[in-house]
Amino acid sequence: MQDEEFDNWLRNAARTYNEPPAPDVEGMWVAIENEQFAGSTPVPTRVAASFTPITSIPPLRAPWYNSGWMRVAAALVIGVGLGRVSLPPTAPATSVPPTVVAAQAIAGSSVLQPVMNSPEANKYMGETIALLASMQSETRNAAQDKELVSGAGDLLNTTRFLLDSPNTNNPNVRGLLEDLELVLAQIVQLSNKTTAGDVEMIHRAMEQRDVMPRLRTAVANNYSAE
Amino acid sequence: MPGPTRNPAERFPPTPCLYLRRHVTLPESTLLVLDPGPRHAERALVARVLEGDRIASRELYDAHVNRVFRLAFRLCGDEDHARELVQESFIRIFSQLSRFRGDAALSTWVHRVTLSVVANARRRDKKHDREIDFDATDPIADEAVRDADPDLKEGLHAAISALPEIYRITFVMHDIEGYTHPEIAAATGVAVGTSKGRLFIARGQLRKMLEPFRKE
Repeated sequence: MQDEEFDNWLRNAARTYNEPPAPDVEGMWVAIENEQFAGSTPVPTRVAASFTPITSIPPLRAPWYNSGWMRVAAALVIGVGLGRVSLPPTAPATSVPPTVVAAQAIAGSSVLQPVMNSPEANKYMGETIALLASMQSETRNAAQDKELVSGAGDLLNTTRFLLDSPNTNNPNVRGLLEDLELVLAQIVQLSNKTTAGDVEMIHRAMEQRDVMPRLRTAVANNYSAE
Repeated sequence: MPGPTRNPAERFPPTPCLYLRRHVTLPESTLLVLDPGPRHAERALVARVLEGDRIASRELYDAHVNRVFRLAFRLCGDEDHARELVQESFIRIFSQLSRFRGDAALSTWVHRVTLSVVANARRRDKKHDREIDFDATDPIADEAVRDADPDLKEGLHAAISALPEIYRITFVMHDIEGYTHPEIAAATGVAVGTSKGRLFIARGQLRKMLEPFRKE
C-alpha cells in the first residue's frame, strides 16, 4: 500500500473507531433535570421552534451569592442601610436636588471637626478625589488599575482610621466617610477578572451617594475655614 | 435607595451581524467560530438560561447534546460511560454558566467542559493515584496493537487507543469528528499551531504502529 493510499485509508477507516450509537437524549435530560433542577416541574420533550413558553414552570435561579457583583451589591446595600439607620432623622425632603442638599449639609456642618480640618485630612481628601476621578477615566490600563487598587487600599485604611476616631462625630462627615469606605472597599476588590459591570456598579454607587460633590464641598469648606 | 440592578442580558450586548454565510462558502464547523449571527443568538440563549428560563436550558441542551455525546463516546468507547460523561458535563455547564463570558463561541466552552469531564473521569478510572501522563503511550493498548486481529481496521482501532491522550483527543476531534483546528485549540486550551502539530504527530505514530499491517 502506497503512502497516499494508506493515509486515505487511515482517514476513512478511523471513522469506525468507537462509532457512537444514537444518543438517548430524553433519558439523559431526565437524569440532568433530576440532578440539576431537582424539585422543579420537568420540561417535557425536545423544544420545538414554535414552542410557547409555559409560564407556570417555576423559574430556576442560580443562588444569588454565586455572582460576584451580587455579593458586592449586597455589601453596598447592607452598608448604606446601616449608615442610614445610624444617622439621626433629618428634615423632610424638599424639591431641592439631592446633590445640593448634600452640599448644603456639608457646608452647614462647616466640617469643623478637629480631625477633619487638619492638613492631613485635606491631603487625604485630595488624594481620594484624585483616585475617584481616575476611576472614572475610561482610558485606564492594567498598570494604572494596579496602582488604583493599591492607592484605594491605603485610603481605605485612612478612612477607617478617621471613622474610628472619637473626634469624627458629625453625622454628615461620618456619612461621607462611610460612603467613601464602601466605594474604596469595592475598588480594592477589583482584580484582573473584574468585568465592566463591576466598574459600572462602583460608578453608580458614587453617583447615587453624590460622593464626589460632597467630597469636593468638604475640601472647599476646609480651605475656606483656613 | 434603589439598589443597582443589572439584567443578565446586559452582559451580552448585541453585536453587528455580518452574515458571512451569505457571502463566503466555508465549512459548517468554521462558521460555528466565525459567524456572529449564531453567536448573538447563543448569547441571548445564555442570558435566558441565567435568568432561570427552563425552556432555554432545554434549548441549550438540545443544541449541543449530540456533538457532546459523540465526542464522549468516541473518547471512552462505552455507551453507559458516555451517558454519564454527558450528564456530568451538562450539570457542570448549567451550574457554571455564569462564568461563560461570551468571549468565545458557546460550543467551544461546552466542549472545553466536556473534555475536562472526560479527563477527570479517566483520572478516576486510573484509581485516583496516578496522574495521566499525556505523552506516554498506553502499554496495554500498545500490546493490543501487536496482538490485534490481522485485520487492518482492528489494528487501527487498537493503535488509536494506544495514542497518548493529547494526540488521541486531537486525532479523534479532527480526523474522526471533523472539528477544525481553531475549535480544537480553543477547546483544549492550546494554540492552533500546537493542535496542528499534535495531529501531525498522531498520524505519524499511527503510521508507525500500523507498519506491520501495511506490509502484509
